[in-house]
Amino acid sequence: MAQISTNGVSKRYGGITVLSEIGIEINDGEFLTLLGPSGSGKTTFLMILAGFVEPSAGQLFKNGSDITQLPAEQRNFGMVFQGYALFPHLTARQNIDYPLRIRGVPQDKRRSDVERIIGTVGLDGHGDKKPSQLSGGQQQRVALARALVFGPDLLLLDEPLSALDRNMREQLQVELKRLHRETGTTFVFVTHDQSEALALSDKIAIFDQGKLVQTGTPETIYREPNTRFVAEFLGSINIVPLQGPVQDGSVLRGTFGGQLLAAPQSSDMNGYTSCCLAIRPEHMRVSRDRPQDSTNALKVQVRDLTYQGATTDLVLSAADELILTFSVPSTTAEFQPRAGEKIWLSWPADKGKVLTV
Amino acid sequence: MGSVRQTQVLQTVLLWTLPVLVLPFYIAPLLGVFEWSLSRPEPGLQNYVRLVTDGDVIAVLLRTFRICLLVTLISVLCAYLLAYHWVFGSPARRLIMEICIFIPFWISVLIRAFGWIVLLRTKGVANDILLFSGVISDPLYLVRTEFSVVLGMVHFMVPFAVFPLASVMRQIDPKILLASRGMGASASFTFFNAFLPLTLAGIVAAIIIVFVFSLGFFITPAVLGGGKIVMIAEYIYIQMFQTTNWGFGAALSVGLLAIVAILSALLFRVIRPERLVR
Repeated sequence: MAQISTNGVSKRYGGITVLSEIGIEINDGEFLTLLGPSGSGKTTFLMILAGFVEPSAGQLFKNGSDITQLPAEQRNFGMVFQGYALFPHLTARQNIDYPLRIRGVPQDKRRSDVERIIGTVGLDGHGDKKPSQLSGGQQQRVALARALVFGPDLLLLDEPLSALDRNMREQLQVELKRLHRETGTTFVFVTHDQSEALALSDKIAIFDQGKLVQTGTPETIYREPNTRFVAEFLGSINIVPLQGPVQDGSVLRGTFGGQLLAAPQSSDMNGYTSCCLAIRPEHMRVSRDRPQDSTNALKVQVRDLTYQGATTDLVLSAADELILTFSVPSTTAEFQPRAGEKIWLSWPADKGKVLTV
Repeated sequence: MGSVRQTQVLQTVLLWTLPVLVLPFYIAPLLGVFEWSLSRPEPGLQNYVRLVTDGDVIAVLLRTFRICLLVTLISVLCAYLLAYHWVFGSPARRLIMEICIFIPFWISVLIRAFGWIVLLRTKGVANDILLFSGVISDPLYLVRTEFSVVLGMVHFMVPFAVFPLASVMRQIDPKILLASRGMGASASFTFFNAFLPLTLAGIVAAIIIVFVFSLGFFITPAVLGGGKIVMIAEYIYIQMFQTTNWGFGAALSVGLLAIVAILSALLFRVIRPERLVR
């Protein structure tokens, strides 16, 4: 087991910077997810961790010692590639045995280690099949077993679930969590799927355009996004521009479409002439009349309704052509809005989050 | 409806073109050769008896096999390295490889054979350089030796071996090799446990192509062997056109055809290349 940290890791290809100044701490036994859209640099960072790509600048540390120059084959990290990269000429069992053969593990121990991990990942009865005879989910399990069987210090996973269908993906998410718990290995997982990141991680690192924009637990990042990019990338959120923001103690007030809105704001807002207010849909509610309490409220028109089974998605238009989305329970709502109807959308003042960038 | 009829007619024509061409231009002459071998100068099996008893014939056959094995070994080895750099090299190196592979491929086999004579003859470029640099004190006799025949044949055969090898190497997912390294494998472990097994189908194909092709080689051994290093094809030519021993030449041809067919079938059966292909 190891504690990994990076300091100012950057990567440039020609004149293009694909990764700039990444500094991150990966704690022992942690499940860290590198989350970002494609081209955000998350996979490049994973390849640098693995040792397949050399950083243009910065250092990597494992338990405090510098491993920046250590070749991939000496790092003792397991890796699950996108598309699995199984050896097509070897059976599942031989694939899993491969890293043990490299290490010269005695025959008896190799056999028992392989059988044990086959049981752990749920591949019993498939050991003698070639990868081409296995389903996508089974190939994924072989790749996981092969990367875990030699007890790596760190397991790197490059979008391992992206090629699977939705049911298989959800099933493997549960198994990945179980494997993480049972092996106690540190996992670093790359994905562009925010729901996967929320479901699996102890810690999420969000990448955007080669920069690490926020690191934290899923709850922290979801509740307290640093930037508009993070807020919009993780879960759904409604963003309302706020004009003429004025700080009043720990509360920020501003207007949108003539309505006075408020949100908690602790840091100093001097110098900002405009900012945004971000509200998660689950804190919002709709009503036919303006709510009487002191909550924030906007008058909106129902543009579109989409029936989704348990919920109905609403597309709402507010002043200044602002589009907001919201969903109501299909059956138990106090009232069912109709398309074209003018209604009120409201939320408690303490649930808004002020964003300046 | 007319177009369906037209398609059917077209399909029939296309389907029968090959058999119709093969029958008169290939099968019929082949049967003719077969018939000669049993009927000239007189009916009987004496031509085939001579095939397995005549010391000269056996010597030619053994020499042919020895040269062909050597050529196959060297060609496939060279081709493996060339194919590797062609597929995995930097763009500049790939371009150099393409030039090295394709330019000889486009030059007539006759011109190449004479080119080697210019290089290798006693007062040729190779001897000049070796004498000038002091490596040797007397010129080497390189032409009309097995060495020059093998060299000329390898030069001709290498591109034919490169193509099947490059094709299997292109199919290898580079991530598989990364995965091997990531698990801690050295370069040689990765080569022998991943890369070599994955290219085995291409190696078998290259061996079959080069070996079978080499068995029937005529121009290169004739020119570079200069009548001293006679291989089976040249020997058949001599029987047919110089000693006008048509029947025995035909029997040799049939024998060569049978050997090639048996060898190909054996190689396919033993190594089962279709099993190696994913």
